[in-house]
Amino acid sequence: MSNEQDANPVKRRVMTQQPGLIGAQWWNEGLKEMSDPIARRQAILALLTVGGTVAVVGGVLSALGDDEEDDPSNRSVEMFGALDAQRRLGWNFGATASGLVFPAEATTPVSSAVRGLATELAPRQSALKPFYQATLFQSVDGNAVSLSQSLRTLHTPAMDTAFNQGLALLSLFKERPPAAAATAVLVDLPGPEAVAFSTALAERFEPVFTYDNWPHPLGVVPAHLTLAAVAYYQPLLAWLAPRRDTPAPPVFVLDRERLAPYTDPQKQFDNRYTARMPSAEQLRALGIQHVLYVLPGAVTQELDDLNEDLVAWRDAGLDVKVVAASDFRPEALSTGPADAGTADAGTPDAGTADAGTPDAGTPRVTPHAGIFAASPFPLPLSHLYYFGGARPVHASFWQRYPWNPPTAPPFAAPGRQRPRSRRLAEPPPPAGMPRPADGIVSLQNPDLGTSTLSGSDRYVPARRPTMFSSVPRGASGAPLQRPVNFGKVAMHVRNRPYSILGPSFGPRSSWSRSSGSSGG
Amino acid sequence: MTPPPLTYEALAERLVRTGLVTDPWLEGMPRFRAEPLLVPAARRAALYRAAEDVAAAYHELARVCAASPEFLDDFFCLTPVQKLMWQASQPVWHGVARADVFVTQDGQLAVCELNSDTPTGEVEAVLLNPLVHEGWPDTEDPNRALGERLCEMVEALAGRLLMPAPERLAVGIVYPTEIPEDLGLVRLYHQWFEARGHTVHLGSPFNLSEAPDGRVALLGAPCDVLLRHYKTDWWGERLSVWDDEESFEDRAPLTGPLALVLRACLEGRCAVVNPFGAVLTQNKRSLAFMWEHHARFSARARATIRAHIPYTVRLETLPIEELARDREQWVLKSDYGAEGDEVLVGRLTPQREWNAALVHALPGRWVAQRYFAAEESPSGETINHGVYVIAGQAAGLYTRVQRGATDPLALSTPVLITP
Repeated sequence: MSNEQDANPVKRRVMTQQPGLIGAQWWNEGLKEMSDPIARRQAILALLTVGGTVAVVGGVLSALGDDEEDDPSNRSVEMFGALDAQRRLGWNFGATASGLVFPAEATTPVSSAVRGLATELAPRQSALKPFYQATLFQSVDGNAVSLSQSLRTLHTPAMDTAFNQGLALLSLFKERPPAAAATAVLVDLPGPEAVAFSTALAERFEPVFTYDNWPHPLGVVPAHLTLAAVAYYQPLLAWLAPRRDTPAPPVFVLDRERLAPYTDPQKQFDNRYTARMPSAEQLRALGIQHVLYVLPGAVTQELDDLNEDLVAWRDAGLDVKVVAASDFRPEALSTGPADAGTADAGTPDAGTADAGTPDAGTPRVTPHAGIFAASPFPLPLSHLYYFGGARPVHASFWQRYPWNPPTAPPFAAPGRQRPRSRRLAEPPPPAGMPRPADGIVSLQNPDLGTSTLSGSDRYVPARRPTMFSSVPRGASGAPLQRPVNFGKVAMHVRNRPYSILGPSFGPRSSWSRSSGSSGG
Repeated sequence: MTPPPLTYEALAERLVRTGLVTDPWLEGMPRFRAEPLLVPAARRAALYRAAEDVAAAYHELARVCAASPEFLDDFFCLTPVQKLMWQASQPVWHGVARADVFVTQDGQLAVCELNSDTPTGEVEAVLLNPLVHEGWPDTEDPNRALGERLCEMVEALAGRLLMPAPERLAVGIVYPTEIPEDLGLVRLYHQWFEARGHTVHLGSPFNLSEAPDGRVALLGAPCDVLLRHYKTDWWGERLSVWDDEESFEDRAPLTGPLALVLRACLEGRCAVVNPFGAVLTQNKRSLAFMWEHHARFSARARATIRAHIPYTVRLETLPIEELARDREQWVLKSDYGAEGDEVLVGRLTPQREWNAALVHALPGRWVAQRYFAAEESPSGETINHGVYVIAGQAAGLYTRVQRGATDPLALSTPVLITP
């Protein structure tokens, strides 16, 4: 110590332990609250928020929770928001002994990179950020060790099919950049397929994920499969993001299972949720004039929670149309550069990531592949999908969805002559597309696949009674009025002093007395 | 008054002799200034009052968030482990803090932030003034009692939270042992507590374990108090604030040590200073909360916010075009950026760089704060009056001068109070 310090030593005068002698009043009041045993109890309960990630509560609970027997008359059942309860009590609370169920294809554990999904998959464009839901990705954010350890990457033939269907749709938008720029795509397929389809679009469209729930072992919505599919495509999405031109129109990625039937409160966990979409004004502010709603096929009606939105968009002058994913099929009459795979509409390819080298030669790549052909990731790029399963029908897509019609149709109907003066102005047909010399194409020709189309292009949004109909919201962007107990779980609570005892679903309801936390 | 006959070389030599400062130069430039800043007593009183009022407003914010935990997700975007830290500590967040106060060109006092997590500068604040004080009679050293006040606060906090509270404390100073820049501060704390009869142990979070009696042990030595000089955002998940930046290699939170400490705290076997609740108040989105949820505060706190907190909002709430266009009116700050790190002053940032920052700033992690023009010296320097607040009460000053925004190149300056 220097002389200067010796001249100014810190001398202890008294051990101060008296309230109010040190510090501001508010500071002392805060300390008083914290030293209150009840406050400590509440803090311990709060720790259960991430009980699955930090094994801090077991010993504390066993030390502090065994001192009194509960009087049954002091208990009741309360409904809690499922997501809130998971955030508070752990993602798998009430079913810690149950595991997540994956298809046989899901064998690879996820990498630690999934913990960055919530931030990594946020839209890069500020204008799209308000519509992004990071909820599902937050379930593995940070320290959700037990969920991360339970999770697998998912890659199925159905996802490959959806990816190729997305590529086919993308190829059409590449023909019409102005239409693409003015179109918002809503992909409402089962979670993993929606992710795959949207990833294929992500070369031109910016994905906006809308997943607003967490996985649960007993969940009616298999959110873990969606998460597993996202984990599979995560590197590709990260690779695409900086290569995508901006501003890019949005592709809203939904999970068709979000309203899955919930029938058994004793055995199921209600992790359903509703999609939250932008208002018509917000879409217009993004430059959107058209909305293309992608459904699996067969069904050409939106899910209940979107009815109000779609009708309101239509009423506001937006052009809302539906396309069935199943309308994009492998080329049945292929003689082109890529192998057709299977001709059966809707049949998943046998495609794998290193899809087919049928001739044991160099793998052939679909002309739709675009930037994906240069990606370092294994993708099913050897299958050529077309709208209607045929190139001529593919060419008719923009007649069915007449957005940004070209100065002249690339393929004239019989009997119509294109003005000579316009020929030079015509865009060249895209690679893989037939040229006029290849033959005249007509929508009236039933032999080219049009007869098997779903007819989804004839869809017009119409208001209809749904379980959300009670309070129309007019696409205000406000949350839907949910039915009573939608997305909620019943919990046993002790009333005095108030504490949550455990869930009323699942095989056991003694959760609050177990010494273990909800995970690792 | 005659200027002090102290050259910088002489000052540097004396500082090194203390054993607490080993680096009076940074990148070849002086870190300190030999000439003291003279602050009239009335101005000090105003600075102190502003800092105390702002600290009290922060406490109201803490209480609001304790009552409405949904804000942790919806507004602050805390990670799970950050929420854990907060919930295990709430509403307690404070022991020692430093409010950075500027006198604006129109004579107001602007508090651009409150460093409530691991405030620094105590070494400079305590050592510089005595070295120059002899040359300035009739002045007062505002930091004479800083060490004493800090120790009293720790003792009071331990007396309240430990069950039972021992007569002599075993104080563990937890700091990043692999980073040398704050070693001087660690040594100073060590001296302060030993001088009051307490035992002191040093180590990092990785050196924590459970003692046989249930306390937390640091390198095997049981501790009653952990003096935490290891930032809350380092205990939690390490996530970049940019969307085009490589992820941290060590992203995982320190769950093992954290669980150990939190459990001991909740059992009354350990007191942590600053409490882990500082994870909320250190988050600069708290500044935006004060403005965006203005009505949730008391009348007094609202007056304090309006008087001293520059208008601040979450970055994602403003149109990016507006921020790009009005660059010179804004300062961007990340949630846990420290000492000029991840702080972009619009008027000092080239438009291209500014635009890139707007595009790549991750939502949920940034605030935009209105630029205010700070009073400048004739040589164009601004003065950052760092007011130490201990247990809610002002306790000293740490002054830095610099052209432009305060960063590690700012000169630490002796400060003396004139009548």
